[in-house]
Amino acid sequence: SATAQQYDCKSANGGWSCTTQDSQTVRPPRPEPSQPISTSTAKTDASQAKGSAPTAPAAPQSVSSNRGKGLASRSADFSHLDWVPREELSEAQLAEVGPYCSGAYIEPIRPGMNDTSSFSDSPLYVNAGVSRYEQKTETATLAGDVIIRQASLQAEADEANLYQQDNLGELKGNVRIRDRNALLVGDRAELQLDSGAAKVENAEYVMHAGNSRGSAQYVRRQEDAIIRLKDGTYTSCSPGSNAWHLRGNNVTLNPNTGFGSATNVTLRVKDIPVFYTPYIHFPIDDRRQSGFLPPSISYSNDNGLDLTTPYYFNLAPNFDATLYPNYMSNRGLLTEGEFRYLSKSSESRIGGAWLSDDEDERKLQSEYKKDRWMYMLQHEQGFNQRLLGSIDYTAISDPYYFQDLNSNIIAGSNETLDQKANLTWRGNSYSAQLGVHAYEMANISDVTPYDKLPQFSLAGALPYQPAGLQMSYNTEWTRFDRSLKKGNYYDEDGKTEPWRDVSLKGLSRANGDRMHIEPAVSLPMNWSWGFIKPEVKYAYTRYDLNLDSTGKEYLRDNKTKFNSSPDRSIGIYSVDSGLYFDRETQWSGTNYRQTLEPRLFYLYVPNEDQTDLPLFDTSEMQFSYASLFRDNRFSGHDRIGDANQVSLGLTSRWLDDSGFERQRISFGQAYYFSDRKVLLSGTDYKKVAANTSSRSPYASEYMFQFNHEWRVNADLMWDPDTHRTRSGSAMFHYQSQQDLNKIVNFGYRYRNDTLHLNDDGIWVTGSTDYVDKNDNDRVYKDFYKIEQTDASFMWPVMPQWSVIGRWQFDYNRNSTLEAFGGFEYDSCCWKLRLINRYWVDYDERNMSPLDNRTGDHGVFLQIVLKGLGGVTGNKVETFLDEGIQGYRERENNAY
Amino acid sequence: CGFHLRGTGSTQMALTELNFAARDALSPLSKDVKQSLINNKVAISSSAPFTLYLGLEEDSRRTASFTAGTRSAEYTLTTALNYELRSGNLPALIQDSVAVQRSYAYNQNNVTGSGQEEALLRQEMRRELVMQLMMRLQAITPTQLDSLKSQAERKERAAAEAREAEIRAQQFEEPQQSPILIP
Repeated sequence: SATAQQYDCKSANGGWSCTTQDSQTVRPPRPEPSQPISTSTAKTDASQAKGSAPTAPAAPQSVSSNRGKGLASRSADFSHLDWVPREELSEAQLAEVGPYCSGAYIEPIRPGMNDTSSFSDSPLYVNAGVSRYEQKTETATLAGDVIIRQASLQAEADEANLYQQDNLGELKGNVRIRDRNALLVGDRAELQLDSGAAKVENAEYVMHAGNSRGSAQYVRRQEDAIIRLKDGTYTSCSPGSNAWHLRGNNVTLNPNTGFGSATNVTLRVKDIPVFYTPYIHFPIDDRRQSGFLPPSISYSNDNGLDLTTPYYFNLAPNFDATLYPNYMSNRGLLTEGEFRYLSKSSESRIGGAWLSDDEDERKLQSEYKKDRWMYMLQHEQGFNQRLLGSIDYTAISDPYYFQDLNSNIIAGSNETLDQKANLTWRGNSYSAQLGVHAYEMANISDVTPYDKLPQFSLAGALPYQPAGLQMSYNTEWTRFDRSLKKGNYYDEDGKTEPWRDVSLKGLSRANGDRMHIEPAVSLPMNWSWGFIKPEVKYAYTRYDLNLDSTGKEYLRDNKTKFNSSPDRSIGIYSVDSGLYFDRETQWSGTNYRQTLEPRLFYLYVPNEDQTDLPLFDTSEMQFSYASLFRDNRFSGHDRIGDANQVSLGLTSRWLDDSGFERQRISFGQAYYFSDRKVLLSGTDYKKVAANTSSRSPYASEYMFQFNHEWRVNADLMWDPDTHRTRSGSAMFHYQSQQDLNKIVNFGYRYRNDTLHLNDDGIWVTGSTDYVDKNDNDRVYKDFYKIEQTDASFMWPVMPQWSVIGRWQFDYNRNSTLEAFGGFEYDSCCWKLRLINRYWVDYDERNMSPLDNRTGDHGVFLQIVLKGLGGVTGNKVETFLDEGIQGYRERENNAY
Repeated sequence: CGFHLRGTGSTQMALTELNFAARDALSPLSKDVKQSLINNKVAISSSAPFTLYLGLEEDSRRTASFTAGTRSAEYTLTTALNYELRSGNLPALIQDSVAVQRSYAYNQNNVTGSGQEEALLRQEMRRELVMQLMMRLQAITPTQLDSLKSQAERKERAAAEAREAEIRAQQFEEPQQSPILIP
């Protein structure tokens, strides 16, 4: 055919003489076999691959009549928009395409597409089937697959007139103007040959990198490549779909910044307007996304109708901000915002929220505030490699803030808030730290915690080791301070009861300084077949205490002398040793190395009376396999447990060829040669069975992971003296690596050895009954026991549809803690989640833990319009993330 | 039953020298890993053919169970580490992660003490993490790394050639002269 040849035209005597010449270019084929061109035509020009001019051009359909879809009259398979169906995409291209997209916009390779030279400096390339030049008007008339190319810009049309005087090109019929990552298709266009400015009529456009398209009666391409649409549309839906699109007055697409904006925008679903906004800012490529984040709508008993429409500001590559306007019909508008900043040596996050709360159910309660606010600051700073600084500070208007209100910027249960700052110097063999750490209570029923204001610590080891001796040190100086609440708490009904702090008696009301010095010498001997490590530690602790009159009185009444500067010095002697045995084994066709690791730990710590020492940062840790090999059964430095015991443990591992631990089982027990006399609180160790028995519970741990996809963890502490289980758990987690959408979690937890503070201010281990004074002294059996199951899943049931669910049940209280179920529909350009949820809210109305449980019920709807922003923040996100382990990984890899 | 003392068999660390690099080379984890390598008779030298690269220690925590009053009763702590074995500027030869999980009972009325307990658990978990990493490293032989290296080099070369070919092709195709000259 004629188009198989190109014409080589040379100007001669005022006219052009044209001779045919073979196309000299061979271009990589583009994956567009929908065009009936056999791959054998190697000498194909790009102009042909676009499809030849229609033989009988029908009257062009107007883009305003397409109801948000691509113009099928231009090509039924939308190849005119560079659309390539899924089946024809290469492996690499497929990887970039969302799972439910029927294809993608693939920019064809063309000469000059990577040309970055300036427009005016680049030569003009013109090619056409036939051409004529009118000397008098300086007009060139071109017809038949016209190609005009300059720098990275390429224009194609059926016909063209080039007006040389005005440097203007007029293009007619099947016009397509391409720039890098952009395609404009239209019926007629004017192109400024010296600047690249263009105006296309009845136009459709595609931004390949952003997977987006749209249309407008007129599209202007400015010299600076910015595209402006008059009454244009924008969508990330495939050309054949009008699931949603935006329609705005002035739409601007700026490929230089990666953003688009529009004014007077309606969001249309199937061309029906559903939402209006005067202005919108959105991303047009896969650079940092900006614009509206997915809105969330929910209805719950507490807040009523609840609507959040987050908006993300991409301010610079290293800082951004997000605004979360959250309207609750029962409360009002909660405005929350966050600002993040990143530099080479620092990272910061600043956030805040404010609400004038219309809900006044807490009006009679102590510490009620009508104006609710929250602010937080997180900052990490590396001054240099060795000196690090960090701040983590959150403050709230009232202790009920997180019970009543959701936060998009602070995750977690937030029962107490950290207010801390640290300065750390990291030497080669030591580290020094200066820190302040205060807590703000986000509840009213807990005892006020001690603040560390400040704490200085220095820990390390001597760099030289004479005769293999390792010498280390651990020093700490801390000022512990808290102001205990006095008097009465007013509950929801205005009734009073004493604050929890009032139950604290004697020394537990003390504030003061504590200095702790702990040098240690050890002689570790390691061989490939085992190790032995004798160690001697010396711990010296000195206090400087203040005690209020209430505390002093209590001590006087109990005939105890108050010592304002007690001290304690104790030697800690231990020998840790172990052997490693190996064997090669096979198990269902795989080679394993099975190990057998017996371990023996002897510990001797003399008894020292520590009843005159307060409890600043010390708690007794629950018994576990790991605690067999610790030299102190208490955390913190206020108690050092006396011991004369030997612990035996045996671990066996199955390692595969890559060293991956597939299975591990551990079993052990400690044998005591004397009673443990040091208690957390109270004085009579003989009443505590765990402190007088001659052996510990059996401790066992089990872990099995087939691969990175699924794992089982279990442990069991069983007491042979009482023939009862102390604690036990079994957890199962599965998440497919191929399809992160497939998640199953199951967990069972049992614990009968929790610590709690009884009404007399004494720490009690194990479960006891609870007497509810607010409810006619009703008795709740085994109140402090934990026995719960938690099952959650996400699973694709058919293409595009996934089911989501969780059920957490408390056997001890015989009630459901949380249950939700719903589904997710995912398509190429939008996603929807609808979830029905029941949960037990922690909502403090008085001091009784049981009265503060409230069942709440909500229906949550989340809609994500892909291409208008990322999926972050949000209420649905929060409970899915907290409820389903693996959800975060899934979302981080979602399209 | 087939068990023998380690060291009398063939389960020594096969790598005898490694270069060490980390996102945060002075972090406690990096120090522990370095010390552990030395204890396992692996020389740390910048001239070693292969580099062990450690990412940041990633700590997370989720509520595992609730009290009768629906407060957090137990937390599950996770500490994870991404590591790579590298050679020169080639893409990672081996890329994997290790993770350790532990649970503990949180004490609402002794927040400061619970914080201290969590810090202690994190320390123990770090030691466990280092041990898991050492078990992975023990399974790696220099021969295996050499073959992975030559594989990666081949891939890199092929990719470089493809890139060059693409550039050449484009330069060649780029028409230097317009078929139609406008005076």
